[in-house]
Amino acid sequence: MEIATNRGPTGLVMPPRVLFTPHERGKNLGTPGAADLQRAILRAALRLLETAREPFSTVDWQPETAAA
Amino acid sequence: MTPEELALYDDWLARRRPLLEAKQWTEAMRDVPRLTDLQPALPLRLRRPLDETTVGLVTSAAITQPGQKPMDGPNIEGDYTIRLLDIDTPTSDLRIWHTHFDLGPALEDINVVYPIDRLKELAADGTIGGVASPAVSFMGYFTNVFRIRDEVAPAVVDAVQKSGADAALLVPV
Repeated sequence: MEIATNRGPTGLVMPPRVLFTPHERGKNLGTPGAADLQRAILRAALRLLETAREPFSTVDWQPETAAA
Repeated sequence: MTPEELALYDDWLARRRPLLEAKQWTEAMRDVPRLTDLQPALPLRLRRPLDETTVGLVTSAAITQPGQKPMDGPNIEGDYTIRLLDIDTPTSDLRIWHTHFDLGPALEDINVVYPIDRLKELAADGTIGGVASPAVSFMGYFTNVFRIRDEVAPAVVDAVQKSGADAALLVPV
């Protein structure tokens, strides 16, 4: 699975599972030092390992994603 | 790389070298040769529950650990080698050689592009079964996609498989 910020290159490669985060390049996991946020993003990405069934399955991360 | 691919790449590089040397990456890469036969990848089902799954971490931030050769960040064509990172290397000892994104946040907290501390915490709390070691590092800036296909991607896959990982997490930058 991937945790990506850049949709262009990711769309060319079409990996099996992608969590897109709304951050700038170089901040895929968000804010430096924000461990809770980073863990939440990781959990959302890991969830794709169990839920993704279709080729190039993508999810946009948002706080509700973590709580789902 | 086929002879046709090599000719295509060499022609592009000859035309775009001035832009690359002027660090006008976006303009230079506008017509870079790409792989045109890729298909969407199908997710494979996990072989065991997530809390028993060992996760391998792959970064394209061009990270090295002490004792390793630096990655060639300034090279206008990129670097087509990988590094294996012991997951227990203190993050303060890691170096980032990528030169094509703002390193500020990652220098403050490398977990924003290489979330090794957070992944180990999720292993400790039982969310995942474990973190594979070594993690794998390469540089996500490159101009020759054919060398990525033929050299870097197979090396990354081989390293992840040898690490014992059941699944891999790639954080591309």
